[in-house]
Amino acid sequence: MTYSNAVPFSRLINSPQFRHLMAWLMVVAGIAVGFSEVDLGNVGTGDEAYQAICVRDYRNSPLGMLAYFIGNMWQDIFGDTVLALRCLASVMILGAIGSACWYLYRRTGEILLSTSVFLVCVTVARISEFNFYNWDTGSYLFDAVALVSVVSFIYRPALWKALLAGASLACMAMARVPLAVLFPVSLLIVALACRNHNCRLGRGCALTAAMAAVYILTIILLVTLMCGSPTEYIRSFRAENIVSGHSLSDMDEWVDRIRRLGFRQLLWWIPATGTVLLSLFVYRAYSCNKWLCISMTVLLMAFSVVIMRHCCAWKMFEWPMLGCALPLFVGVLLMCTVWNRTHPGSEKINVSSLALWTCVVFVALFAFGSDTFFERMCSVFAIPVVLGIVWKPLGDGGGRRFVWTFLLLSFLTMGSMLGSHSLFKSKIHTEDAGNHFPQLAGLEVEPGCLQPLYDAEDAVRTCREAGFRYVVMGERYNVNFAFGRDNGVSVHNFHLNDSDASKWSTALKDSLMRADAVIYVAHPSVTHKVDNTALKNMGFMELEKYECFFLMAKGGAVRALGSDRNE
Amino acid sequence: MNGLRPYDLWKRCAAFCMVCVGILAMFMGLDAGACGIGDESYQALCVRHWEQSPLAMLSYFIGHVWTDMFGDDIKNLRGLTYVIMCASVSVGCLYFFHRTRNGFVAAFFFFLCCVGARISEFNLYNWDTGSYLWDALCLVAMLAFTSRPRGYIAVILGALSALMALSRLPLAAETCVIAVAIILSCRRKGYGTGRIVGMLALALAGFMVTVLSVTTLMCGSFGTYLSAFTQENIITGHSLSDINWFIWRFRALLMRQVLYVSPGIFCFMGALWIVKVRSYKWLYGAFFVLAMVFYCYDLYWEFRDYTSFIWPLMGCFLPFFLIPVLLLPASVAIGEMDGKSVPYLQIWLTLAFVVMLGFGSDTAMERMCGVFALPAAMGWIYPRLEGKFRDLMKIFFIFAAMVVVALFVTRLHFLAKELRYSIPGLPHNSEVRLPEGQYKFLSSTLPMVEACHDLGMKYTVIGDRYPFLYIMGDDNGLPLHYYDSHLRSDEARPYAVAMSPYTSESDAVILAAWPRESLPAVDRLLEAQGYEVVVEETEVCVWVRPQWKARFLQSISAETK
Repeated sequence: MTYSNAVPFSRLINSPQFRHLMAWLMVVAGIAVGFSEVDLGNVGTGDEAYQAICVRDYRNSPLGMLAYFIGNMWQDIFGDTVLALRCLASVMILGAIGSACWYLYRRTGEILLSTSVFLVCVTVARISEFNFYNWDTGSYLFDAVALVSVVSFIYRPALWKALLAGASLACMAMARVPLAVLFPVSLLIVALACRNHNCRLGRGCALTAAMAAVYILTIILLVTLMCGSPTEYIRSFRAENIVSGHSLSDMDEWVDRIRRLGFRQLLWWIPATGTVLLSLFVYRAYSCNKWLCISMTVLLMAFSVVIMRHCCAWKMFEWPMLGCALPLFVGVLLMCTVWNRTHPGSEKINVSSLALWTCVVFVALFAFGSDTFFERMCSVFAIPVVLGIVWKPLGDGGGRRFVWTFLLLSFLTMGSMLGSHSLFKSKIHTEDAGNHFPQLAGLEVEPGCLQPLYDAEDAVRTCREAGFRYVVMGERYNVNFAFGRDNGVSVHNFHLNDSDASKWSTALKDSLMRADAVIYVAHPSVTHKVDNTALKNMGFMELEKYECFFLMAKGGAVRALGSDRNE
Repeated sequence: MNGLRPYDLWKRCAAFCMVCVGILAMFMGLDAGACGIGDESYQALCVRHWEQSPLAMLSYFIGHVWTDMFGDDIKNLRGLTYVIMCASVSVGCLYFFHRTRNGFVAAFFFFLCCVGARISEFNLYNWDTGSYLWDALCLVAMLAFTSRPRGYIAVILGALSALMALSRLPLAAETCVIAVAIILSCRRKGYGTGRIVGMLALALAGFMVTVLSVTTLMCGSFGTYLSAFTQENIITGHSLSDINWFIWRFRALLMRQVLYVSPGIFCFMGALWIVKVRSYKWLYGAFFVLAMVFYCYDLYWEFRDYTSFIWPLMGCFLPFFLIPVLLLPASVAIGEMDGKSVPYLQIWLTLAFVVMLGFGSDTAMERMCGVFALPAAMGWIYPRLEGKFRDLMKIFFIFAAMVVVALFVTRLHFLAKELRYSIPGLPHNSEVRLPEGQYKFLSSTLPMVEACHDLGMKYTVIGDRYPFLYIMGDDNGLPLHYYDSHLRSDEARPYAVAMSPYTSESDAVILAAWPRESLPAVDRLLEAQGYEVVVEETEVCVWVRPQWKARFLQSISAETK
């Protein structure tokens, strides 16, 4: 890419040394951004704490065992803390984006473009994707490598690419079992790619067979490494080890969830959608009305911050504006298609539709097996892959100028959201959480948010020391993560409705019948609090009750816990 | 008819049908809901007490005359709203027809704006709707002046702006827009300073004469009108000192408003795509329409808590107004067309006029009524559209019509589903159908008010009080214009201070709908004044003096039986 000599310092800007310096600076900046805010915010009371418990007990969490196994190993090295897991999540997303940007560099040879895309994608990921360690982030690196290897295969079939694809798809499936759906899809894509390249039938079959063989072999190796043998792995697929709310019988709840969250998601899509549309506008209008373009950019940045502020997306670590970057992916994906549809035949851009469709299918199927789609369709590492597909066909013209405009505006919009997100968070998260709870070492949290743990601590420690069976209700994952597992329902019973006694499951009732104590904790903002009337009917006596905490016990635990409270 | 070609005959029939459907749509749903808890009841009370409501006395005076003629009923006030809305849209469309001589498109705009008004603008009689006709006439007069700056038009402009200001006092700010319009129009025509000043003087004269005449008609004299401006007669929460409240409200409603305007924005994006794409236009168009119908249904479903009778998707028509009006300037700005033929003066004046309609309110976006401004502005823009711009606008308006119809039908569908209750013999709310929430609200609180009324007690209604004042008459409570929700902050201390003189003289205090625990200061006040809580339910809480307790409880148990 060359710059006009009318640009000041054009010789400096055009020099390879400057470009390499800029490239390295962007990589460093990207890495720094990738680890931003990891220490701000308490461990999430839902997904984050649950997934952290699964990391500890990876052998009984078969649906994401590899992701949890990696997390477990990481914690063995860096400590059993939430901060360590969040850093691992950042490493995974940086690795995923890095792999995709490496592919972009290999396709285009443009180092400045690749590193710019790296910085932009990392910035986007911090506001749009999961930032805590879970089975999604634990598989991001493998997702990216699989996507890159399959797309690379489409352009030039080679055995090593098929083997790499097979291995990475296997790791994907082991890191998040529903992603196994991508294996047959990838086989089909590989077969189509062979046909497109007029490969002989024998060669095509050999490549797909090799891919399948490596897939199976990798799975066997991984399960042996993690569980000792494939049989043990298969045995771990027991009902109590499978997360609830993710089966086909939960379809009604999924539909209801999509409808409830759909309009919020529409709001969250506005900044990215505005970025795409503004890119089109700026690309056309910049030459004749610079100030209008600049004004509209500033307006979009401000409006994006307002949306982020309105949605209170800065309050919880678990939930930035998940999925808000999807329109960016759709924008680059449809760029060439829109151009071709609106321009006559001679000006069309020839892009591999199979490669583009592969990206679409991968991103869409990342959400497979989850109860919420928009936040699971992680597209940030697909963006560099798509750019790698379209860059060369765009030629040295307006198309590439549009891409640079798009990258700049994406960085400005998402960067302003991320910047203000960090600013708001740093203002409210001021208490050091690690003083009292070692698992939360290094975290800065909102003052008062640890109160549920303080409330529950004495009761939990007394029960554990005396051998009493206890059940935690309400924010049970945080308590279980901080103090160890209780004697309640399986940790994988995720969508546990414990606020309405008429909807208590049989497993919950059984665990309550066998328990000696019940500890309820909740954040003050929770509206559906547990009614302890049903527990009284089970013979529990109320020992202590505040707005967001109660302690009930029966039998011998009453005296022990009662005297403990008196002390 | 004999000389018409079949195509022209078809167009005339279609135009006639569109006008009829527009009028029909405008008057549907008169019986949807009893008097609303906030604005609608408050404004209906202002109509009753028009002489104590100087901020919009003309609107309330007209409403009062109307209710004197047709009966003091909420349905009649709604009917007046729709008459005014219809008339204001007609003014805009007639101006469009005058400029373009295109009856078919004028009829289309009439249909679009009538249906659009029902889903986007106030459906209740208030100081906004009461001034719409004057607003429309003023806008048209202003646009007419820009093309032909004549003295008599200046006088008419002044008179109409006076009517606007008397209908809603903050609209006096529009005089600035009108003054700018007069100056710029005269300068364009090459008038000298003296002549410009003369035009302004004529407008001012028209303004003054109209103010004096109308205030004399309403109050007997201008002095009597001025004497109505006491603190008690000015609504709370709308002064400059309430700026924090304005900002909070703007932020709280912004995101909902953004989603409300999304159908309009999608229509433009869809129209742009249809114009640009080379093939399969009809397929894309059909798919888009289908998608938008589902989207509109879901949008209404999502916000159904807000879409009661008095709250449709407020402001959702704004993109249908803004996009056509800004199309030409935007195209020039990005180099898509030459700027010579763009009527910049008329466009910016129309925009400024519509924006200023929101002045003086605590929520601006729902006040910026574009339904009558759209056809008036299009009278200048439409003749200048050529080629792909005309195609773009045609497709945009076709999509717009489908979207407003989809939203309107969805609204009717939800209203029909939800309006399943009635309270026979409800005063000033004859034969209305109620949603469940309103039915529970009225049926739980009304017996309390009726009991106090029947026993001859002096009672004060607080909380969502306006419906009960409208239904049962005035209480011994706060002045009408003390808008209760503006006094809820700070543990309701301002509320307690305001109501103290009245509750000290009353025998009963009835809290309608608000939770008692949200008003600790009021609770403390009433306890200190010697009241006892005798009824505490979800929708109502009643305090009475000890000496009335037994009789009151006896009365309400007889009422509920």
